[in-house]
Amino acid sequence: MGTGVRRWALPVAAVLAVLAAGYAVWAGVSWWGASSSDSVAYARERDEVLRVGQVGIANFTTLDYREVDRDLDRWLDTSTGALRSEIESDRAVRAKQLADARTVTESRVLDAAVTELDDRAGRARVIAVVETSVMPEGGQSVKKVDRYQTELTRTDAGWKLSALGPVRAGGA
Amino acid sequence: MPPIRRRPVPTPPTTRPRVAGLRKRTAPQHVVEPEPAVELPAEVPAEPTAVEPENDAQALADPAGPAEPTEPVEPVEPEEEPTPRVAEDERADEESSARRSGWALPVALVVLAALLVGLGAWFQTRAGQVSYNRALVDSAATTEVAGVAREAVEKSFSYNFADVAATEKAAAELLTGKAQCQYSAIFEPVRALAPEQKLVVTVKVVSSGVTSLEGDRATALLFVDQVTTRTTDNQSGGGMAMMRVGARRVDDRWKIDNMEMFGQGGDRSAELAECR
Repeated sequence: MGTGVRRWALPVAAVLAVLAAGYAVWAGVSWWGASSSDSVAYARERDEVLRVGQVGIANFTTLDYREVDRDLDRWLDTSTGALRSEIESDRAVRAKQLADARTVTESRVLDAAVTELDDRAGRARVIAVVETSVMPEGGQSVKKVDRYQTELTRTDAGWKLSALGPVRAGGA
Repeated sequence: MPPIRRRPVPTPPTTRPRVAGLRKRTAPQHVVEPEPAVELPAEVPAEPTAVEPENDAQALADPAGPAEPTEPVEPVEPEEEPTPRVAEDERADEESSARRSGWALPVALVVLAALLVGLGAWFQTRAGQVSYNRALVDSAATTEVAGVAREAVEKSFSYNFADVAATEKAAAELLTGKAQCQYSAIFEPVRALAPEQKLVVTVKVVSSGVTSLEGDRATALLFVDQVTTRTTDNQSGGGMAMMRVGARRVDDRWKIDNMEMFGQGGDRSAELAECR
C-alpha cells in the first residue's frame, strides 16, 4: 500500500522542486532586470548629481573668515575645470578679501533640481534655492534666500562643480 | 601521510596499476609502491561492508534495547514467542527505517520547493515594488510636467489691470485643489491693487527642473522673474521668486495642485499654510 505512494513521492517531489527552482530563478531574474536597467542607473546618476550639487553649492556659500584656508581647500576639493582654476589663480587675493570681510556665512539648500543630465558626456546642471545667513563680526545675522545654478562635470573622483553662479533677475 | 594513503585505496580497488599511478603523484618515491599491494586486500572488504553491518547492528540493537528490560516484566510470554517477535520487530524496524530513508528525500525536496516558491514570491514582490523617480529618466513626461508648471505659473500670475478676471479664469483651469486656495491667497491683494495702480505684470519662468515624477504625481522647482509696470507713472520694477510646484495627473492632463514660495515673509507663508 505504502510502496505505491512511495514510488510516486520522489518523482513528484523532484518535479515540484524543479518547478519551484524555475519559478524562483525567473522571479529573481525579473527583479534583477527591473532594478538594474539603464533607466534605474540613470535615475541613480541623477540622484548622485543632485546630492553632489547640493553639497557643493552649500559648500561654496558657506564661509568662516577665521577659517578661510580650510574653506578654500574645501572649495578646491569639490570643484573642477574653470571653477577650480578660477579659485586657484586668485586664491591669495580672495583669501584676503574674505578674511577682511569678517563675516561668517552659513548656507543650506532649501530645494534643488537637476535640470539637465548627460550621463555619457558626464555633464549636468543643477538649480538650487539657498538660504544664507550672514553674520558680521559682533553683529546680527541676516538671512536671505537666493537662487543658484551650477554646472557639474564628472571626473575620476566623481561629480564636481565646474561652474557656479546666482541666477539673477533678467535671465542672467 | 596516513590519511593520504588510505583515501585513494577504496576507490580503485579492482585495478592495481591505477593505484600505483595515483600513488606516484602524492608520493613520488618508488619505495612506497609495494605498500598498496599489502594494504589493498585488507581495506577493500573492510570499507564497503562497514556500511551495511552498521545498519544491521543498529536495527538489531534497537529491539535489543527495549527487549531486554521488557523480558523481566513479562515472564510468561518469552516461552512461546521469543523468535517470531524478534523476527517481526526486525522486519517492522527494517521497514520503518526503509520508509524513513524512502521518505526523507521526497520530503526534503518538497520543503526545498516550498522555500524556493517563497523566495520566488519575495523576488516577484520586490520586482513589482521597483518604482523610482522618473524625473529626467522619462524625458517626455518630464518635459510635459515642466511645460505645464511653467504655463500655469506664467498664466496665473501675469495680469493686466484691465482684465484681471481673464488671469483668474486661466488660473482656475490650470490649478486644482489646494493650489486654488493658495492662489487666491496670493492673488487677493492684486484684485484691489491692480486697477488702482494700473498694473501690468509679466511673469516668466527662467529656469525649471522636475524634482520628482512618480506615477501621476510630480514636483518641480521654478525660478521666476517678474516685471511690474505701473502705468499710472510708467514706473517699472523687477522681482524674482523661487517656487516649488506640485502637479497631479487628472484625466490625462497635468494640473498644479500645490504651490510653495521660497523666501516669503511669515504672513504670507502662514496664509498659504492654511490651505488644505
